[in-house]
Amino acid sequence: MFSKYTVSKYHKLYDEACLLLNYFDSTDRQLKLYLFSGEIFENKVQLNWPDPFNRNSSYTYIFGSAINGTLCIYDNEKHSTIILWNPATDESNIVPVNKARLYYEFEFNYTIHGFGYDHVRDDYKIIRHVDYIEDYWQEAPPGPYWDMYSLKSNSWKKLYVDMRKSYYLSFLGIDAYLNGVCHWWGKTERETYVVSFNLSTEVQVTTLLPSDLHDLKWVYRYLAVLNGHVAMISNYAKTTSFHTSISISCELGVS
Amino acid sequence: MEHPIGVGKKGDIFIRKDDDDELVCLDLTTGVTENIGTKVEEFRSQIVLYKKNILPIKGMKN
Repeated sequence: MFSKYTVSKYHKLYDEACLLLNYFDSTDRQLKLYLFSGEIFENKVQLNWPDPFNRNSSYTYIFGSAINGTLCIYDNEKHSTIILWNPATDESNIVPVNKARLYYEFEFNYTIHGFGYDHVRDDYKIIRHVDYIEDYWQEAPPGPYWDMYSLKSNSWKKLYVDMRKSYYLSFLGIDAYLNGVCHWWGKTERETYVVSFNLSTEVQVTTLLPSDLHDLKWVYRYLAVLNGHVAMISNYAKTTSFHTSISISCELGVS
Repeated sequence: MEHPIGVGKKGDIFIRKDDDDELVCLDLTTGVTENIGTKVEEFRSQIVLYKKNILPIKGMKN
C-alpha cells in the first residue's frame, strides 16, 4: 500500500509559496508568528493573530495548512475557539459554538481532526471529534461523536460515521489535507493506519501501515503533504530516520 | 531526538535539533541541512506552507 518514492520532483504546489513559522522562541520565551518569503526565505515579517487570539496568552495553532490563502487557527487548550483567517487581507471568520453539544451536562473535550475545502459544494469544512468525560454516575451520551462545520451554512452538523479518532490527540503535524480529503493517524494494539475522510462524500477510507513500521518502538508519527502526495514520517528513538512513503490512501479517499 | 516540525518547498523538511534548539531545513534530495537562525521550543512549533491569496474567505467562486 505504501511505495518508495523520490522527493526531488518539482510540484506546482510550491509556486510562490511562503512559510509561516509559529513557534515558542526558547531564547526570549515568547510565542511568535513569522511569515517567510522569497527564493531562500530571505524576507521575514512578524504577524499578529486576529482577535481574540492576539490578546490571550494560550497557545494558538494553525490547523493543517493554508487553503486558498485561508488558515484555520484554534486554541490548543480546548479546540473550542476556531477562526478562519486570511493573513493577506486580515479577514477573519469566527466559527460559531456548536450548541448541540452544550445541551448535555457533561464535560467534554474537542479535538479538531480536519480542515479542508469541499470542491463539490465550494465550501470550507472543519471536522471535530467530541469526547465526553464519563464518571461513576453517568455514562457518556450516545453518539455520533463527530461534528462537521460548513462555512457556507455557518453551522455545525453531526456526522453519522464510524471512524477512529486520531491516536495522537493535540499534537502538531499529525494530520494532512490534500484535494478534499483529511488524513490522520488511527491505531489499535495490532495495527496503525491512516484514516482518510472525504469532505464531499463524507466517506472514510483507512490505509494500513506495514507491520514492520507499526512495530517500531518509541515512535512519533507525522503526516505531511510532500510534492502532492500524503507522506508519513516515523521518527524513532536514538537513530533519526525519516521514512517518507507515499500512501495510496489519498487516492482512495478521493474516489 | 530531532523532531520534524513541518514541510517546506520541494519536499524540504524543517527539523528542530535537540542539542541546541536550532531550526534547520533539510533538503531530502541532497541530504544537506541549512540553519535558519531561529531557536524553537520542542512540540510548540509549527511550519505551515502558505500561498498568499487576497480573495475573500466566503468561497473562491463567489
